[in-house]
This record gives sequence, C-alpha cells and structure tokens, in this order.
Amino acid sequence: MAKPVRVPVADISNIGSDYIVRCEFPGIEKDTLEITVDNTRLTLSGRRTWTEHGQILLSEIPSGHFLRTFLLDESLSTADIVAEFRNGLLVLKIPKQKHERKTIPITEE
Amino acid sequence: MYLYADWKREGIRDLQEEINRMFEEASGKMTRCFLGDCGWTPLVDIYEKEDEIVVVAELPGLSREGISIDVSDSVLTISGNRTDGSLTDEVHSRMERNQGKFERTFSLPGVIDGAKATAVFRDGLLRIALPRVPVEKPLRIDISGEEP
Repeated sequence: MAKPVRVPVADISNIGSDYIVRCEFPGIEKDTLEITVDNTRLTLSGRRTWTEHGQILLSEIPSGHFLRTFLLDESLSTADIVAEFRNGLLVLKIPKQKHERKTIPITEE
Repeated sequence: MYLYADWKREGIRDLQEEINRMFEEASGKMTRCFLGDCGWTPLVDIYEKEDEIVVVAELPGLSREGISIDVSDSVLTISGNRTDGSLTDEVHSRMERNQGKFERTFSLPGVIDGAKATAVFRDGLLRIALPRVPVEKPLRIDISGEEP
C-alpha cells in the first residue's frame, strides 16, 4: 500500500501576463520540494523530514508527503515558470503565452 | 484556458480526505462565527515529554512577526493574522487557503515554566517548547522512637 499522501491547499489567480499559484507546504524543507512539468501536468511535491517524539496529546497534522497536480493549458509558457518558497508557502508564476497569428507562405516551384 | 486540480490522478481516497477536511473546517468556522470571529484554525500537534511539552503548529505564509504566543498558568495561546499575499489587481479563480485572524488556546497538563519557553518558526512550522516544572516527589516520613 502506498504511503499516505497529503493534498496541500492552493490559491490560483491571474495578474497581467502571469498566472499565480500559491500552495501551502508547512514544515517542508526547500531541498525536498520538487516542481515538475510533464507536458501539461504540473506536479508539486514535498517530503516532511521532521519528526517529534513523545506521548501524543493532540494530533491534527496529517502525516505523509505532500503531493498536488494541476493540468495546465497548452498555451502556458511552462519553460518560464518562476518559483519562490518562503515561510512554507510556494509561489509559482506561470507566464501566459500569447497566441501569435502566423501566416505560412506557399512557395512556388 | 484552464488550470485545475487533477483529482482523477490523486485518487478518490485523497478526494474523500479533502471532503472530510472541508467539513471539519467548516464546522470549526461556524462555531467561531457564532462567537463573532470568522477566522481560521491552524492545525496543531501537542507532545508530552518527560521534561517539556512541545506544541507544533502549521502556519504557512505567515512571518515570524505576525505570530503571537502567550503563556499564562499552563494555558498557551497562539494567535495572529494572515493575509493571502495577493496583489490588489489579482483576479482569483480558485481560493482554498484560509486567511484572516486565528487564535488557538490550549490548557496544558502539569505546571509550565512559561519564562523558559522557547519558540522556533521555520518553513511555516511553529515549534514551541514549554519546560515543565518538576513536581516534588512526596516525602515519606519514617516513624522513629518509642510510643509516648
């Protein structure tokens, strides 16, 4: 059986020429964060490395690794995604790419 | 144009967990709203150790300055205010993150030395260590001498 996976909450917004994704990864070290883009699938994952010992009096924080995927529109410029991680919050800036109208010339023989 | 969560991939189990979490959050929020404060509730773990009580709270997106910790007679209160960090011109298409004021209060077991408590905030995780005041062991008094 696979390890339990925790789906982190996220906000999505757009401003100007960018989409902004803010995703919560509390207690996740930057080194364990992984952002991958496979075709149109954006995957955000992070491993929790901290453990606390002792008798549990209250346990609300789910265990397991963080994993969240998003499907991106093909028109988005995934090669130019900018990521910033601060205080457990991952902020991605995904540039929208303009559809440029292109005319293809027909060459004569 | 679309940008959405891929539930099929993450599985029904995660969806179920997510639904459960939403309901729990909503019921918590309703209780708070009745009390006149529609805030949010950060998740907390509490551990009891031999010489200290450790409280761990998830506070992603907050800065160290935005968190208040108060200890009084074994009662711990964590409070603060979180803004979502967005710019005024942003147009939101999905909002799952809670924002606004939060406050959580816990009555901890035993006697706590609040003056020696320490707190560390790193990567959105707050860890508070509260040393326990050792309870004096009961003294056994031997009976000596003769009966009067």
